[in-house]
Amino acid sequence: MKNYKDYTENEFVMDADFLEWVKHPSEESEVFWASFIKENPQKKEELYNAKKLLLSMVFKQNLLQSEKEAMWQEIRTAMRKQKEGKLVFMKTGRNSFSKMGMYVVAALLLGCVLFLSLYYFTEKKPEYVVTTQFAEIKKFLLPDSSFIILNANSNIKYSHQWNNVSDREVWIDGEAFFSVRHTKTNQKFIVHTNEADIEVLGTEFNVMERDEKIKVSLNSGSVKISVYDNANPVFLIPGDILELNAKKIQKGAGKVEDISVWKENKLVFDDTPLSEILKQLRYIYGWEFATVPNDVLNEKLTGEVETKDEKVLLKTLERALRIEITKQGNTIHISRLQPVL
Amino acid sequence: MLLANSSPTSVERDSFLWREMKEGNEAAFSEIFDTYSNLLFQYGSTIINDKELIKDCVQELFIVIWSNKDKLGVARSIKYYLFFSLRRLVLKKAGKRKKFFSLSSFNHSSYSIEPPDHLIVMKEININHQLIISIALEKLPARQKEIIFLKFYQELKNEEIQIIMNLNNQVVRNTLCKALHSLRLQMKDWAKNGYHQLLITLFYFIF
Repeated sequence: MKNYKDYTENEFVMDADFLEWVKHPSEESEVFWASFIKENPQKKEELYNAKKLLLSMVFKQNLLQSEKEAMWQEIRTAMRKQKEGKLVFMKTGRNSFSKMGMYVVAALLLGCVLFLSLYYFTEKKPEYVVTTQFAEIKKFLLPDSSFIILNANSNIKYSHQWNNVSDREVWIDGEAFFSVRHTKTNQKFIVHTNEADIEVLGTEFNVMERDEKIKVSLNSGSVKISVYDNANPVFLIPGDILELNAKKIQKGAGKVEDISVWKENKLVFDDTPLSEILKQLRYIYGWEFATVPNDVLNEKLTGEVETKDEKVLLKTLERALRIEITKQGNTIHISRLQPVL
Repeated sequence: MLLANSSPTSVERDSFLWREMKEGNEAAFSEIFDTYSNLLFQYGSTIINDKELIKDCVQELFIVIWSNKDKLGVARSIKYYLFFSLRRLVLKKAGKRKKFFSLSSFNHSSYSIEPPDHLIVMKEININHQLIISIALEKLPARQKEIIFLKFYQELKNEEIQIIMNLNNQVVRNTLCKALHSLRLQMKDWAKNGYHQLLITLFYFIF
């Protein structure tokens, strides 16, 4: 145990555990430092100054988005050149193989092909499932390199066998953001939900299926949605939001970036009633809301909150709405903060 | 991403992306670029005050990584690896161009007043205070600025800083102390002369 009682401001600043608390407070560290201040009130100022200093060290030179994109383009060009260069190299490289070596490789390949086809025809297609717990976000790549970010309390299933001919299919339960790769052979990418199929070639979009409600928002590209038992498919263009509730289709436009902002561990509210916010928190954290005063439910909130740290999140809500939130296990109680006077 | 942290999930994601990148997955590579390009640019800015040179170096670093992806090891920490490599590249290029390291003397384009990351922080920190520190940081000699960036902003361990900056432990500690000391001195100055000096300085930059 370090003897923090004798620490100077500088020593606090330099202490790794102190820094960890300042930058990423945890329940444990909050308790520790709170009780430290209580026991050593004379250290309060040093501690506070050290914390203030650390939190103020912000470096603000940033790349512009356009600069970043330009750099990435340059890198891509170099990558393409390398690819071509490598092909040439491989052609010349092959000459150095001995004939015998070639036969061995051919035989091995043949063996592999035989084995794999045997496996393919005898085995049933296994299913892959990716699942997230409450408050967990997972990023992964599908076999075609499409990038998926899976929100908390959700799962995605897909079949093991993907080739470059047949449709790419996934089944979703919960919420996910899709960045689908366009393939040379123009394969369809289909997301199956309870009530509709969402079909794309290569685009970015967000799908949420919660409480029998489906919401699709399109960031780029184009999407075709076929609602089951409905002959006419719906097409979305970037910026479109489609909501589907008990076969009722509602299409509108909105800030689609805000909808998928959960992938950065944030939520963005735009005049959003607390009732809606609580619903989202239930999806992400699995909390149940036991007592909520009715008038608070209708209060609206605009702004951005971080969801990574549930304590920070709850504190932010408390301050913004002037309410008191108590959490016991997974149950949340909300009460109006009584005015002091 | 203002405060880059190294929570277990981001470490996991990093090593996942790194493995995928080594297998030739371009999406993963693009994701790594997306995550680290700005951070690397920020780091470069603490070493040398030459925006174009830093951009070139970051770009080159990614190209080199991609062309050598088969030979690269399993990175324990991508951030650490990237910082280490970028620094060498920057120094090499800067030397080639026969440019002296301009002490990143502060120019007004290099900082901006932004609200901090989340509401809580905003309440606790006076914007003035943050502004003063960012000006003070700009005034530090490059090496002190770099070490502050690595230690307090990126939360690297002293041992990691030692290797990245090629210094021994004692020098790392001394430089840190010196940097903190001169930050404090500047802040005291501000406090003594009041905020009007800050305003004057700001006007000076703007006009």
